[in-house]
Amino acid sequence: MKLPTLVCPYNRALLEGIDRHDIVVRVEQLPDITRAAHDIRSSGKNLIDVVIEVDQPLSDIPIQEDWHGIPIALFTPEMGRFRDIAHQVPRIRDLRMHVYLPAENPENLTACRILSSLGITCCLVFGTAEPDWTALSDLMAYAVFGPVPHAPIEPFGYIARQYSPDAYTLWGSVYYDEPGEFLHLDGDGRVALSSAALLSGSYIADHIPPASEPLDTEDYRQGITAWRHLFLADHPCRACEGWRICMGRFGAQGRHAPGCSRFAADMLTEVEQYRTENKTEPLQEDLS
Amino acid sequence: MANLLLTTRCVRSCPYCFARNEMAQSPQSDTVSWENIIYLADFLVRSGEHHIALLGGEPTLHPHFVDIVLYLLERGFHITVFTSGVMSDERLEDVADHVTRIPPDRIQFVCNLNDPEQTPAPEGELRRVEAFLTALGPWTTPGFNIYRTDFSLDFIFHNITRFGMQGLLRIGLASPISQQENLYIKSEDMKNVIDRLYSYRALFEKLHVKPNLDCGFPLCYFSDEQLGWFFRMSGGANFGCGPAIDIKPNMDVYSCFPLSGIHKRSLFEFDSLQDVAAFYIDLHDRIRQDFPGVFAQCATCTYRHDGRCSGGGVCHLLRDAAHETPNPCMSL
Ligand code: SF4
Ligand code: SF4
Ligand code: SF4
Repeated sequence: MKLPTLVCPYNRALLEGIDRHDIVVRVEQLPDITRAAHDIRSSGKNLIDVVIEVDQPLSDIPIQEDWHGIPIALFTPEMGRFRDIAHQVPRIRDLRMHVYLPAENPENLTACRILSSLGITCCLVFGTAEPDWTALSDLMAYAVFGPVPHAPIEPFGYIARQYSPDAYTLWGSVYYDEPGEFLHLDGDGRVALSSAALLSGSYIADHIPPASEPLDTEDYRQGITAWRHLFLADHPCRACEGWRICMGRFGAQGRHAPGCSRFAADMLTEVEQYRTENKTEPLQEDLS
Repeated sequence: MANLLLTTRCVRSCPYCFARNEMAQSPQSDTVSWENIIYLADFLVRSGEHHIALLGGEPTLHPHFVDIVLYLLERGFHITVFTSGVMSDERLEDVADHVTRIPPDRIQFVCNLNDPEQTPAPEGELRRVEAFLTALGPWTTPGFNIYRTDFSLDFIFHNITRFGMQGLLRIGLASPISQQENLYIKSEDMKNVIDRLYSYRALFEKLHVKPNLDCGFPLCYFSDEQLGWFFRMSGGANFGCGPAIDIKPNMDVYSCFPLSGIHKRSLFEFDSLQDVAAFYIDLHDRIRQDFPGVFAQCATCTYRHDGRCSGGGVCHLLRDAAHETPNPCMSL
């Protein structure tokens, strides 16, 4: 059985204690991107991504030459003006960088389309506020059926690639937030099932057991099937046509939001059509 | 080549304006969205087209003009911007700041110049055009629309020298538009226009300016001597009529401004630029079945038969035919 990937802060002592798990490392400062990547790789561990959240627009971030070859997930509030980023586009395109933008800002839906059309992978983050569902639908159609090759717009690209009519489509891994695939560690090594659980201090273990021992607590088993609670709690999601492809995520952080259901149903139709047509272009595999 | 109207707003009111119909029918706030820019860029890439013209109204009025230019360059397009050169000082500073860092072989402005004596403009407008040419002369070729037979080109040559503009003069014939009145060159006056153009040959040669004829010139109105000179100066000459593909901010498409009132379609109905062109070529062909050319002899003309002359512009045919039938296109 594949070990879950660990999402942990950039803490050398903590990283040294990790044995055979793949690692997503969260850094606080831009210069730590290179340092963290170097530390993890030089100790022979497999680095999945360096995650950094900044509060300035993408256009204000000085892209560094030495980020080349490092998989970076950059969470930023907005792209900024295109004129301010235009000169950096070729450099960003050459990086293994995914740009994460909040979906609730309508300008970010446009930014995703701009960046994607220029070969830069982006990803929408669904928060507590509702996005413009109509504009989102339009963007999703572009992501799945855009007429010329473009970089993936996640989570739509991931969903279209992974969709199977016989299974639920779990796309939390786009955000390193899929219980069962990812575990989240705090600076002391305590383990949570999701980033939200980490924030609220809901831990399932005090430490990661040695690689030879699977994490098999009751909390863990319940946590990886937490979505079932939406059905038991008579949640609106349980009657949603698009459930299979959403699993409660399009709604505000798992809560039902007006408009999401229609959107998820549209998305389901689109990805089913995509699958039927068995298209390989223009939706690109994320090669990074 | 596709022409995209970034906005239908304009800052001038030229007496020959052939975009007048379109601007009158469009809301003031009609500017192209990023979504439509990207749609069109994808559409052109898929069509194998790597050149785009940006026009208006006045395209620099679009609030994201600079961003759109930079985006299209990043997508690999060569850009031609048709401008009046009239813009606010702030906008000019912004445009110049970015464009002067781009090589002139990637972006080119065609500045449509009006003769200050024959087409008087407010003082402030002339100052702004001069400011534009001062900043962007080397990125700019002059364009001149002829709407009267006693036109003068002296001011154009003066501007080319003064502002270091590119040595090419785009010469357009003001065309009639449907549904509204504008000043234009009638077919029977074109011989005079050609003779007058030719009378400037010494200046063209002295200043190394190539005359570049736009659509609608009738081949048979040129003498052999004139033809030889135009070919020697420019390496060719155009005696055709479109179809130009003009695309509005909302992705409505028509075959050129003077024909915008008829057979407007949406770009979303087509799969490629070739499909759009084929649609409008077919439309032109059907119009020309009933109205072959601007002169009676066009019907049997060997040059038309061999595709070397279109027989004048469809815009003229429609204008002339409108005297016989109220709207000859409605039956098509
Ligand atoms: S689309 Fe909305 S209602 Fe449907 S499953 Fe997702 S969050 Fe629930
Ligand atoms: S087609 Fe008409 S306009 Fe053209 S050369 Fe022949 S007669 Fe003249
Ligand atoms: S109808 Fe033909 S000649 Fe008239 S403006 Fe259009 S392209 Fe030019």
